Amino acid sequence: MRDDPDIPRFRQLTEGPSVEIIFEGTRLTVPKGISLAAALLLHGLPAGRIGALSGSQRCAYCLIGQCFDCTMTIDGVPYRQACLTPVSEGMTAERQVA
Amino acid sequence: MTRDSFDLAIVGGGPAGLAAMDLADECGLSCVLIDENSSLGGRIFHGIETDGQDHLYGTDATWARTLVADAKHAGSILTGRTVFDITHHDDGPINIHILGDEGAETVLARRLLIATGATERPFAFPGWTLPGVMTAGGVQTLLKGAAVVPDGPVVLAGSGPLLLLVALQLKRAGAQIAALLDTTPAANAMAAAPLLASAAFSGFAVWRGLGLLMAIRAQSIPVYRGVTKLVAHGEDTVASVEFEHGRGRRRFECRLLVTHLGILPDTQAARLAGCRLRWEPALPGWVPIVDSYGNTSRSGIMIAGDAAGIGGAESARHAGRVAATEAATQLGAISMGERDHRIAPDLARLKRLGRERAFLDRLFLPPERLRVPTDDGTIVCRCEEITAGELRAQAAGGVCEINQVKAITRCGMGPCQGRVCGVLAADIIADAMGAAVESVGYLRVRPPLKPVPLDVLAARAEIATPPPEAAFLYTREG
Ligand SMILES: Cc1cc2nc3c(=O)[nH]c(=O)nc-3n(C[C@H](O)[C@H](O)[C@H](O)COP(=O)(O)OP(=O)(O)OC[C@H]3O[C@@H](n4cnc5c(N)ncnc54)[C@H](O)[C@@H]3O)c2cc1C
Ligand code: FES
Repeated sequence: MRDDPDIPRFRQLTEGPSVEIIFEGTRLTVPKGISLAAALLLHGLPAGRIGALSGSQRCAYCLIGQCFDCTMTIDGVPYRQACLTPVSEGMTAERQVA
Repeated sequence: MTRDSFDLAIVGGGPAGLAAMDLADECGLSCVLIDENSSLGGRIFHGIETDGQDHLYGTDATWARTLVADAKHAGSILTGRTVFDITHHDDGPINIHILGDEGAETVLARRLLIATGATERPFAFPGWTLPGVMTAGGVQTLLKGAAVVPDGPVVLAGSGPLLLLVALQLKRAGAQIAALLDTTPAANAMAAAPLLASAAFSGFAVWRGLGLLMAIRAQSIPVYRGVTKLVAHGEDTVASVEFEHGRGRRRFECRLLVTHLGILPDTQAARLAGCRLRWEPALPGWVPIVDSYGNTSRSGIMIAGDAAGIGGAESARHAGRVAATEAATQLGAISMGERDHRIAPDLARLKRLGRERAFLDRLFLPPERLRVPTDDGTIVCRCEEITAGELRAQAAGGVCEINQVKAITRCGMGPCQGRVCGVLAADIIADAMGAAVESVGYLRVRPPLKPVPLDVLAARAEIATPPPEAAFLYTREG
């Protein structure tokens, strides 16, 4: 697997119920109800696709469903937008080339 | 699957769509509201349904909550669904094709109200595709929707009320703001000055803006004005931000750069539905042609709120009410006299709000030097990684129509369908040709509006014409 770049850090202001998701095989505890993009950012993980041309790692950019930089394979379905998809118990997510 | 038929279908659960829903119900129409977000509120009230963050919406929180609560009683709400196509045959109902977790469905409606709001104007500079560059609206969405804030130094850069608001909201949420780089040209204030008095007496925007500036000063956020030549440096991610201002070049170490250059109407659904657009020099940008009731060039299809031209949340609410009342009149639920009586206060308010918008538009008008990246290596199309230089080469070769440029270079052909790069590419080509931006045209939109699994498309033969581009199709199993 490629080295994960040092993406910007985020933290959450509130505390509440959580769910477990699986990102590329690793179990993560994340706040319930937030978007997958937000959840991955909280873990310092790149919430984004791998550029099809340059092979470079992208990260969620607009977070409102416009740019498609957050495109991922979610629960086995490719080309889904992590910024518009709320996390749910047992959800799986993988980066994809797009 | 085909759902029930409705009198009115509304796309977009922001202030425009929510207010329209409530009014339509009052007039006796059956309605459905569709939004791709998992909750209601639109952009400005994103996250309003979750408790504990009311301070983010200021004095608007109360009416926003009422709007959401009323809309929920007014008809069917379909959140978490994206509208990916709109088809309309002769006198039959309008078919609104939606995709959600349960697959694709079709909603039938006699009238359609597009209330899809606005998107942020692209701000392209060397390094803007690096992880660590995010839009102001995006960072605000993380805060409103997930209570997630940046940890570590943040630099904000660009121009417009939203940038200032987000700077303040982040600071109040405990983020460390290293600098606010204001790119608004000094000349803008002078040009906007004649519009100030009329704006100040028309609404609260000017006063709110002043309050915002004072709060930013009180929070001791370091502000740099007249900023140009922004660059994000870094190998794989942002490591530092460099820029020029009155006293020379400066550099800040930071991992997050938040950018903003104003907002533009989201015309994706309008163009898909075949509504005609016009050039609005005050933005500058393309806006759908609508009459004062929200009717477009396509019969049965209406547009309200920021999707019809930037007016802000209060305008959007009034415009939503007007459009719903007009739909009720067209469907015979209320008389024209009743319509005019109901919407007179809304129309009067919209007129006043228009005066403050004129001032804001002029004050934050983005100059060409910010809309056109000078460095040839700067990426324009984030999806297909097409650079400014490649576009300028097309312009030099005489290709000057945006859809032609797209066909040759693939700029705007990726999954985002030019949502981000469309206006940027037009600005670059116009600048290179020395032509007016409006002469370059705007990108045509083809169905599906967002990528759709192949099996969904196969089940819907009508959507497949004209044939969609490969980037929008995929098979479900990777
Ligand atoms: C990211 C962002 C943040 C903003 N924050 C503020 C703020 O804090 N304060 C402020 O005064 N103004 C803000 N604005 C300006 C904003 O445009 C208006 O204030 C207001 O939200 C406009 O209301 P509206 O009803 O026209 O549309 P919006 O509130 O933008 O709502 C449009 C809705 O349509 C939905 N939608 C769009 N396309 C589709 C589709 N194809 N299928 C299904 N659903 C769709 C979207 O998910 C969205 O929820 C913001 C704008 C943006 C882009
Ligand atoms: S981050 Fe832009 S579409 Fe999700």
